[in-house]
Amino acid sequence: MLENEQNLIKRAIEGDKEAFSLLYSHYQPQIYRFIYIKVSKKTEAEDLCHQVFLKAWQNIEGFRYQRLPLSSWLYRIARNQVIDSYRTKKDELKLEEIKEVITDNPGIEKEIDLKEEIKKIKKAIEQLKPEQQDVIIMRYIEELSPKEIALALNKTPTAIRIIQHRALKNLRQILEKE
Amino acid sequence: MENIIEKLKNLKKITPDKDYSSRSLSLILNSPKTSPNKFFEVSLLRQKLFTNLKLSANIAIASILVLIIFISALYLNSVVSPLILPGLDNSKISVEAQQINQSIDINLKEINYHKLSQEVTQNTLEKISETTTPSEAPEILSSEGQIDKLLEELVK
Repeated sequence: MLENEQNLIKRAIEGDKEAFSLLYSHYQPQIYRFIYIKVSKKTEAEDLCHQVFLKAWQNIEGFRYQRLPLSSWLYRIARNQVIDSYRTKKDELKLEEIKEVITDNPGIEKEIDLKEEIKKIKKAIEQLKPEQQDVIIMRYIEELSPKEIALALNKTPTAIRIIQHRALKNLRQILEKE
Repeated sequence: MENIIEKLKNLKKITPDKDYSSRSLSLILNSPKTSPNKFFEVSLLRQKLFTNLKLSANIAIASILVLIIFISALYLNSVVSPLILPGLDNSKISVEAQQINQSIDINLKEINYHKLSQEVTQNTLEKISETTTPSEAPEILSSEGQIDKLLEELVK
């Protein structure tokens, strides 16, 4: 959670662009990752991520009635965006684009092994059920608490722990096969 | 397991393009804001409507069930009501009881007749055994008359 987040949210609700920019800078990378791992296409991930924050900015007044952390609310919007995109078009997964995304980061440009490793784990995640994918990304990549994940996915924390356990088990089996 | 978690953490290295991020933010902040309150009101209204519809549907289903139960109860009452069972009909029971009473009365009369006739026959036989001819025992004749009387009563 971002420091002074409540104040930033309050200011963003009042239309303060700077406050929203700070919230955007903090949450956009993780929302982007979440979408990207699920859709596997850079341009689509960028488009969907843009839509998520556009909706968040336009509807942030409604957020005060939601009674959930901002992260959970954003993940909820992102998840719905991804589901909608699945409904409208079902493109084939393009794993080649991972190279493109990681190359954008100068720090890891030369880490070919790491790229391969990321490609492998991403491919394994894609084989999980959408619900298990969500939990794995939120819990182990973004390190959200089970409570936050539960609020984002509209489930109980216990249900999240069960999904998490099954997802890890499945992921291990998939990785062992390869 | 820890190895997998470490591998998963590597995915955190995926980050969005910085140019894309700043362009996206700029577009978002300069986009015309829709009336969020209206949006929220509409969604709230939709939610309320949905809740009301759900409640109405539940009430309708419950009413239909109650109605079905009520009709079934009425039907069962008319078909297998204890008041309609012949065994529990008061008038039929009293008629049956009267018939039983009458048959008991008849049986009692028969028993009385048999008892009397037995006594009369016994007495007569005793007297006959004591005398040789009926003329010597005039009670025999009166006993026979008594028997006739009883027979007539029975016939009545």
